[in-house]
This record gives sequence, structure tokens and C-alpha cells, in this order.
Amino acid sequence: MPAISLELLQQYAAYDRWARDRQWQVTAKVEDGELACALAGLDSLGVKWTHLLDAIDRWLARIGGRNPGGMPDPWRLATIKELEAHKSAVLNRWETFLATLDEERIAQTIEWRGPKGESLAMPLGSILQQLLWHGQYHRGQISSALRAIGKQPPATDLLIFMREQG
Amino acid sequence: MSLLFAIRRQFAHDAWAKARLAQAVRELTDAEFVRELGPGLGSLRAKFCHTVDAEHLWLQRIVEGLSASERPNDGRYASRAEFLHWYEQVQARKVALLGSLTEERLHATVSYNNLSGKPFSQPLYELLQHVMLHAAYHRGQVSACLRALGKQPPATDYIDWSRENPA
Repeated sequence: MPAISLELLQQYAAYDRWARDRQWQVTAKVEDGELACALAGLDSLGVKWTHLLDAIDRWLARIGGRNPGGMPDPWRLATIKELEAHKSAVLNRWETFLATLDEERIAQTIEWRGPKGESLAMPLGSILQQLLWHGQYHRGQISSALRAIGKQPPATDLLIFMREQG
Repeated sequence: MSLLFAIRRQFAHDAWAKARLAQAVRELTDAEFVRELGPGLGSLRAKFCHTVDAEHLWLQRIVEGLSASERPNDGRYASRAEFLHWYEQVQARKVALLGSLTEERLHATVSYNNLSGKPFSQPLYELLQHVMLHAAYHRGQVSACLRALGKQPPATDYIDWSRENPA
């Protein structure tokens, strides 16, 4: 049983979309050298974005019954242009998938293989909650990475989103 | 699936994740705890203290009807022991609030002023969702501080907790 309703998942997904767009607006303006600049504790701004997107893509593969294989190199996207192309492709798949959800679907159990080949299973709704929380965790790191390269990260608090939505 | 059930589980995950980070703090030295780690991160002390202070601010607004007008100094604790005492006090107060919740109370309106004195009114569940997401955001930063200090941050993913605590 998922521990979250479809309505709540959709609210969090809407917030996640808004917050990610706000951070992207700032990220899209950085230089390629700033994107790839190594930062203590944070890898780089580019790595944080790439990891975030790769996590979504890997879970979409598992949910679709495919094995995503090993983790791709998070340093592989060296330019804003490359990162934007990856972001666009992954988020198109993500949004298409989100549009298919209903209560019955999020209650379904997804099975996949763990890193040691072990069999794992969880309701789809719980996996989606993981992805949304994972995004929020790395949103904090993207803000720190932006600040570390001298940029002002945007405010992305849920309360601001709620006020904007009215 | 009730909203109360979902929110209680989300806060249970948050408490578990925070406890893991608090344990990582216990294993540092006080010098590491307060060390400035650069413009993007500040210090682990400041990041963790900010998260706990924000929770205290919201507990004051929600439970006591008090709206603070100033953010406390997140560099005020010189030692891990002092900070962890504060952290444990706030967590206990949060547990008490969560234990007292009902579906009806979750939908009740809370009126408060922000730090600038501007008034707002919102359902309690929205404020609790904000507190939880704010904590997740800063958890990522606390973990980054641990990495900047050369430590391996603990796993705090929802999925790890959820495997141990299925619904």
C-alpha cells in the first residue's frame, strides 16, 4: 500500500516542477566553466543536476520493467547545452509518465533488482515519494552549488509556491 | 489514504533521517562542527541549526500562537553538545505536536506573522508540509557539509526508511 494519495503526490509533483524550473532559470545562465567547477562537498553544479535527472530516468526504467544498469558518470555533461538536452529528454518522459497515474496505478507493486542483484519491491506511490524527496534534498545542494559559484539561488520554499498558486 | 497518515509517515522519515545526521554530528569534533566550509555551504553548525530553529519557529506559531520577529543566530552554539541538546528539545516538542494531531486539526487554520510582521493564515497541514520539505532541502546541505569535512554522510533516503517501515 502506498503511504500517499494520488492527490498529494500530484501536489508535490507540481511544487517539484515549479521549484526545479526556478533553479533552472538561474542555472541556465552560468558559464560552462562554472557548471563543471569542482566544489568541496558538492562535486559540481553540473553533477548535482545530472544526478537528479539520472535518478528520475533510472526509476522510470525500473517502473517500466527495464534494468537501468550501472550508474552513469555524473560528470559526463560538461556544458549547459548538453545538460539542457538531457533535462529536456528526461523531464518529457517524467511528465508523460505522471499523466498516466491513477489511484490504482500508484498502489501497484514495482519489482526491481538492487545493486547486489537482490529482489526488491515497493508500491509505485512510495517510489514516487522517494523521487520527490530525493529531488528536494538535491535542490538544497543545487542552491549551495549556485551560491558557491557566486550566484543567488532562487527561493523555492513550498509556502512561496502555495502563495503564488493562490 | 488519510492525510494524517501520510503526514505522520513523512515526519517519521524526517525524524529518522535527522537522528542519523545527529549521530554523524556526535562523531565530529567541535572544531569540525563550527568550521567554515566556504561560501556555498557556510558551516555544518549553521545549516543544521537553521533547520532546527525553523522547526522551533513553526512550533511556536502553531502550538503557542507566538510569531517571532527575529531569526536566531545559527552560529550561537560553540559545541556539539549544546546544539544537540537544543535539537533534542525541539524534536520532543515536534513529536508531541504530531501525536496530538487529528484530521480535523490538520485542516484548521493557523494564523501567524512572518518575520517581517506580515500576517498569514493557512491550514495546518500546509505548514507541516512546508516544515518537512524545508528540512529535506537542508538535509542535503548538511550532508554536503559532512562530505566537505571528509566524512561519509549517512543514507537518509525515504526509500531506505520505507523499506524498514512499510505502510
